[in-house]
Amino acid sequence: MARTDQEPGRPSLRMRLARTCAEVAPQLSGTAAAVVSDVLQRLDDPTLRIAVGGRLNAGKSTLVNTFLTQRLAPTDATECTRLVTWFRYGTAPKVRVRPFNGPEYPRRPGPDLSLPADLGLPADEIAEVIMETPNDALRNGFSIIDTPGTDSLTGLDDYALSGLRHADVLLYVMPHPGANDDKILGLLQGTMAEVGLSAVNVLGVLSQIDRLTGGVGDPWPKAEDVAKTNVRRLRTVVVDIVPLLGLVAETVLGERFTEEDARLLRLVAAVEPDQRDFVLNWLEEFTNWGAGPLTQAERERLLGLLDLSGIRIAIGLIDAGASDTPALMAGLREASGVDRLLATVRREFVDRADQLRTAAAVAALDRVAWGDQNTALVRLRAELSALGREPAIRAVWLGAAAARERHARGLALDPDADGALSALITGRDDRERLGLPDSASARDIARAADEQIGRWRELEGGPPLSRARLATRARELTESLYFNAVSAP
Amino acid sequence: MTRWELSVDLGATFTRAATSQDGSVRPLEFDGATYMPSGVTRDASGTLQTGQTAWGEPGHDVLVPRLAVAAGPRTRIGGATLEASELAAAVLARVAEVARTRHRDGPPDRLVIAHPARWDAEVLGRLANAASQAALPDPVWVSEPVAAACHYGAASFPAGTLVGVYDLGGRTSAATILLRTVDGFSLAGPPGTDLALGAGDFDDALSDLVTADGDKPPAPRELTRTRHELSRQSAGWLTVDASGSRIRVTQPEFQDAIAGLVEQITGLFMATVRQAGVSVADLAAIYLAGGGGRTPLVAGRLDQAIGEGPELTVWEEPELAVVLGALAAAGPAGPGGRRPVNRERERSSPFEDD
Repeated sequence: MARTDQEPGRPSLRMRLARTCAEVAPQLSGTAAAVVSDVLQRLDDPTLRIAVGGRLNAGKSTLVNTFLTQRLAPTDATECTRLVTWFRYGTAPKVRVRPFNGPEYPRRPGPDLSLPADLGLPADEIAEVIMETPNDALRNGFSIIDTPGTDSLTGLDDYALSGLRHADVLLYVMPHPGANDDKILGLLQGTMAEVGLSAVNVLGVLSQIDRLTGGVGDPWPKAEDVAKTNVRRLRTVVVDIVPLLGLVAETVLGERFTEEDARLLRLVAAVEPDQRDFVLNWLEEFTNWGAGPLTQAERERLLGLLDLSGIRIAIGLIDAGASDTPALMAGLREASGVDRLLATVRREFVDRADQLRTAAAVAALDRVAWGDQNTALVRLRAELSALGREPAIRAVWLGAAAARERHARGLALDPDADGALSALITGRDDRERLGLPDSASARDIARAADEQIGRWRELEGGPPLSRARLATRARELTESLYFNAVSAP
Repeated sequence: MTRWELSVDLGATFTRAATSQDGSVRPLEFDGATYMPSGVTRDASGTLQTGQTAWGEPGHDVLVPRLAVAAGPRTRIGGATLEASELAAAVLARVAEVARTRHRDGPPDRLVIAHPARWDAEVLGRLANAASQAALPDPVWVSEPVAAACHYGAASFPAGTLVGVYDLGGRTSAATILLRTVDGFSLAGPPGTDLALGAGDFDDALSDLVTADGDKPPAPRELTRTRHELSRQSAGWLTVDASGSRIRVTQPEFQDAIAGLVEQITGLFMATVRQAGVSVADLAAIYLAGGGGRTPLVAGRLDQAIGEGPELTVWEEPELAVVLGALAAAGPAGPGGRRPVNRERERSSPFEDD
């Protein structure tokens, strides 16, 4: 069972807010009415909106297609890769275009039922494209927003950010860390804070891990290492970093890998090992492997499906006895790391969709809840205020504040405090927020909270002010955990 | 007995108060200054000590009443539970005590408390409770932006007029667009609150400017003093260590160091204007309040950002705008003479504020 804040017999925070919205909606007019109905729709929508962002060529579209289990997002640099595109469930493939100016209009999907090349307007006049498709992957809890990659440092320009504003969570695709890493992170933190994203709703995906080892050997040990080091540095920015062999993941979950491809791989595996293994270590050798069993077109096809590293993994699997296609695909799937990614997304995001979406809804409603003595708005404000005192919502705001202070000043916390802060932000219930096991009693919670309150109070004395202020917020959340625990039946 | 009134601005860093009698409004003085540090400590016997510096002295636990009442009914310190209202009551009692040295005729006839626009009835209830514990009258509420606007004379505008207020406190920022109504002011849009953008951040920036990696940073008090010096002079001297050695900091260096923060300030103001669904040209006046208003770059950049809007208004001692304006707003000549100016008693806040 998923861990959530929901107590038996009490409605979830999301349901609670949805009910208030439904109650006040009929009494509102104008912008407030429109926003409340929009939020209500979003709270009622059982799907979580997952955005995928990152720099150009970071492997974003590959990741989008992995989630779609279908190559719907163009992976080459066409106009479409410069657009914000939503993929969501629909009963038939349909494309709708929302221009910046003028009404939304429909467009037929391309011949392969993917996004058409021609959308009727130049890309820079299109606010977003919506692609509906009857795809079970989209029926099970999420829709995907593909944001355009730019070659700016973070890959998130103003236009990409407009897509992120509608997202509940972000999968930030980062290729192997480069020289500009610290600078990028700084920018990313500031950018995320601006659209209300923080450690609670951002997951790093370390893509193209085969390049970490220069395309030679098993990339996983190095990938794990890089992911671990970066999680430590980024713990207040991302909830976790998951390495992924992107193209292999897309291929094993998608529709392109066929029996024929499995046969080609088996042909390669059958070649005398010395020759074969030499060729498989060098892209150039493999591409020009005229003496091998495959035609040039076949070699290119396999590279397009798996990259050289993926082909090497497949050959290793066949060597180890994966003789039939199901066994081969299962092996590739395991080696791609995709199951870990899906499990992390489920655990961190889908399972606590309530918390994330409620926080996003509270922020959206706050923009229209003021400036009027309308009793409906007064009622709405009271609900927003009450929700703002719930630990689950405080945690989201603490996460946003932490990301921002880190961005602004390079928040300096000792590892203990950093760990405690990270638990407060990412914990799914009061026990996790204090780093306690499921078995911890209310008394354990109160004791642990009290200890942490002391720690935060010490930091509140400052300087610097940025850290002191964050410590205050952390302490206030911890206090609410304490008082919850002591008032528990 | 001559009627007198007391106003209190319970800041996160400093508490300020003012009294009015026979039409004369004056800030209250605490040991010669127009402010008292807001912090409260608890001594070994459990007695609360007011006037404590809440920030900049790491390692000793200081409670901040403003933050405590906003966060919840109770707070924890050293394994004990304290009522938030009790902390605020200690500060209010201290203010009342100082006020009595000026007005010996007993308690004030009226108590006006300024509060962030986002505070809801629950939070105000804790403050009302505190006033009663301090043997003060039931407070008249004035929201901080309304108080600041009245300080600058916005009460004389006709109904329908829009004004903007930017309050740059030590820890936080609040940008507000107000609509003059027939009998007071109402909010024209959501209050633009930034809980992590205050004049204290300028001190952090100043500290970074003069401190190399690994060096001990200068004392917070010294940083604030130098910041104020730089607000009126082209260069200042910053004492960096106990030996008394000093570093010269010029106005341009300081301005460079805080440019990014000031950009966030103008950004917050412009975003608040947009969220209210108006443009700067619709505003009749824009006021700057709070101690951060002393820094010339803040007023300068805000004025530039406003562009075609009205010229920015800021007077000497902007940190007193709220406490002085609170009396004006609630007074007989103000828009809220008969009843609380802040009519929005059931207001709620999704974001706690300090």
